[in-house]
Amino acid sequence: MLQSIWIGTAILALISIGVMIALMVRRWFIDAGKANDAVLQKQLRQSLMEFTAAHDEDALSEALSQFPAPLVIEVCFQFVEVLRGDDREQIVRVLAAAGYPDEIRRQLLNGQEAQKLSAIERLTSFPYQDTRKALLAALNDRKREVRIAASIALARLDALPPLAETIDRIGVRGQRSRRLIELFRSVPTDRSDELIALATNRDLPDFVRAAAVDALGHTGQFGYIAEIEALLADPHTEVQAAVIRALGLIGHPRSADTLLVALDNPSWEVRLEAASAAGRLGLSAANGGLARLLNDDEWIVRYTAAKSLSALGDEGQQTLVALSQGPSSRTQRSAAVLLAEENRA
Amino acid sequence: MNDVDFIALAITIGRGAAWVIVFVALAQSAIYVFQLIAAAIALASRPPVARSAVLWHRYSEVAPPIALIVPAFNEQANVVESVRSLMALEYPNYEVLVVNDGSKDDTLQCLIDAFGLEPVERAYEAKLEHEEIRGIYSAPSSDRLIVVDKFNGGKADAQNAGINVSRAPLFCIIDGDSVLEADALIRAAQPYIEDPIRTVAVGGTIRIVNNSVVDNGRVTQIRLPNKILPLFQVVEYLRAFLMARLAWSHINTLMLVSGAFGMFRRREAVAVGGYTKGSAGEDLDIVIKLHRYMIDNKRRYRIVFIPEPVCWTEAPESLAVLSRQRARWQRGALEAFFRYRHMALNPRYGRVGILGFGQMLIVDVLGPIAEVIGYFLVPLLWLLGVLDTDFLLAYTALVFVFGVFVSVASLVLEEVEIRRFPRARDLAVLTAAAVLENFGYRQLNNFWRIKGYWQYIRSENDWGEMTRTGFTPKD
Repeated sequence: MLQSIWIGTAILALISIGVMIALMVRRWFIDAGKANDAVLQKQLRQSLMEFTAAHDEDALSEALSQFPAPLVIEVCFQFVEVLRGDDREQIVRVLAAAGYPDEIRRQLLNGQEAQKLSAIERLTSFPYQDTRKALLAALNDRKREVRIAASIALARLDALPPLAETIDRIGVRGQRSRRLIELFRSVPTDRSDELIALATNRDLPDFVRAAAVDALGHTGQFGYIAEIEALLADPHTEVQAAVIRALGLIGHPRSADTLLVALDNPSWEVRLEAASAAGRLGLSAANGGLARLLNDDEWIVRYTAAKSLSALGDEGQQTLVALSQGPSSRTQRSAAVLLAEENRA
Repeated sequence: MNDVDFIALAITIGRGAAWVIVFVALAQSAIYVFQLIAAAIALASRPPVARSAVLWHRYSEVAPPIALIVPAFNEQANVVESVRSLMALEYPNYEVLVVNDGSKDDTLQCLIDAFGLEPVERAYEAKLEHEEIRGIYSAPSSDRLIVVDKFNGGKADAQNAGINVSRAPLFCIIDGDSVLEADALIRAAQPYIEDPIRTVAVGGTIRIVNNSVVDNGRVTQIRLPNKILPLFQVVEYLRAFLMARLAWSHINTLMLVSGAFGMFRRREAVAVGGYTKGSAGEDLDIVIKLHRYMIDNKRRYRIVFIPEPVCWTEAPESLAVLSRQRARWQRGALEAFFRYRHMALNPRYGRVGILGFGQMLIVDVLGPIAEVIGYFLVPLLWLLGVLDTDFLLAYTALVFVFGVFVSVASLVLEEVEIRRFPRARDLAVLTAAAVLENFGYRQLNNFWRIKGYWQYIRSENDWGEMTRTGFTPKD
């Protein structure tokens, strides 16, 4: 027993000492490598700066060839992140001509998740057939974040496969990432019917359908209002709220009645979106409904209703003033507080 | 009972107590081993760490609004610099809400002067109870800064006032003397973007800023503390954050999101009644309440620790201040454990009840008592000839070396995960500190924790004054 304790102690001590020595040696090598990289990065940035003054693509190409490819990709993309216009396009053209997209595609194929995500974002600068093929292949990556990022990149390159197929490949089980909203918003407006198909597909999780409705709202297209309004019958609050938000964003007069009815929806999330939409659209017919919402059980609904009343102009503001001068109640306080906040008490 | 019988009984009791102490020590060691393994697995399976510019590019369109709540009590030394750094964070949609909790010094006036604040009216939801708000101020030049001035009610009270006045769906609590790294918010918001339905709270890493250079509210040069007490605390914080929090987060049993930096979903925080007023460990308390609320309501949820968002804070440099802090932490742990004792080891609360509370029982409730009794009992038993000298030496060596091993493992996690210490030499210094802390500091810590026990039993609720020395400015 005693001997075991001593042996255990000695092993732990040796491991601790060994690990710390290994860590320090490793750090020494890392620091040395970093110092070397820093020098190279500085030289590379200098070449890029000179290029933005001289615009000599051959000279830049020659300069880039002096450095390791991963370093060129890293530094050049950091550099072009802050550039717009001709300078950016020229640098990207030089990179393409020198074959760097091949290296980026290799990173997408063989890299770790972080490298793959960066590679996907960088490949969108090279809208060629090879890029599309690589991104389509990435839709089968084992990591969902990589699949979503590849979808967003394909949408930006106008090369997204049918949305239903894309969603199928991304996988919907447990899908909650807000990046999905970004993907749907990247879908070109001429493919909005695919968003409608997703939004109406009851087999999909409500989060996915709500995201599709949200994206439809952001397109601002009038053509799908009937289909969007029909989704109010959906039993899920998240979808209903997305519908009202979308109608508020589209802002077509024919949705006014739907928005007015939604002010009395049993779900506070839907009432909140309706109150917000009424204010944004300056829906004067909502005056009474908004005034009723000043007595809502949810503070955020009361506050949004008061803000929206104020946004309606004279009529809404007169309603607020009248209610603020009434007998003490939640409605009166909601109106008075908003007027005080806006310095109109 | 004659003397011989009495001594025999005392020895028997002493032996029994010694075995209990050995059992608690072994249980604690088992917890540390589990934490190490779970933290290593968490590191291996964690999402990739991206540059902050990449995160901005990726997430800025879908990043949810955040209210950054900063309770401040007698923080005139650092508050302006802290707020300046908070106003310059890289996040698309946030507001800074400083709550002056009836400071006796010039905290409020410093803020008014520095930012040209003026009184304003602001509608807010008075859902949580707190001391009366005297006034709300904002800067005409920016709609991003709100200062709430209220009567003193303690840290939890100030945090509740901040939650009430905030409007964003997420709020982030940080201490008035802390400095956030510029990308901390977007990193902490990442779980809310990737899993917005289940994520209810996120904690980040707290690092010690003593002796590092702070310029314009940013840590511009990271240095190890040049005093021994903060240096020991660096090692402690590495163990607490990069090992313990990471491990418990990995199995969704995180019991503590540090009060110095934590992000919460407002709706759930309000639903559990916000922070518990008068609690010495309000940060521990609210996380346990969130667990209870989500489990009682049968909701799937995550409380997450991610190592990358870093918040820098000033550590106590004197024994007096440090002892008060540690006694308070211990009191807070005991308050939370016994306040929610119905959850402890209760299978209805799943891993939180069994593992989370089990760990609190071993480490926070029994741990300090067992260790301090051991300091007296083991030499006593040795003097009485009950304990074999060889065994005593071997056991003591094992306990100390195991402590060093755990600290070294935390350093490995730091080096692999964050690598914020600039020089290889710093690793050597920290290793030396990990060895040295076993000779005096660890024992002192346990005595302070016993002091916390005593305060808890006597129901003393004083927070104790935290003396700030201010950040080290650029030369």
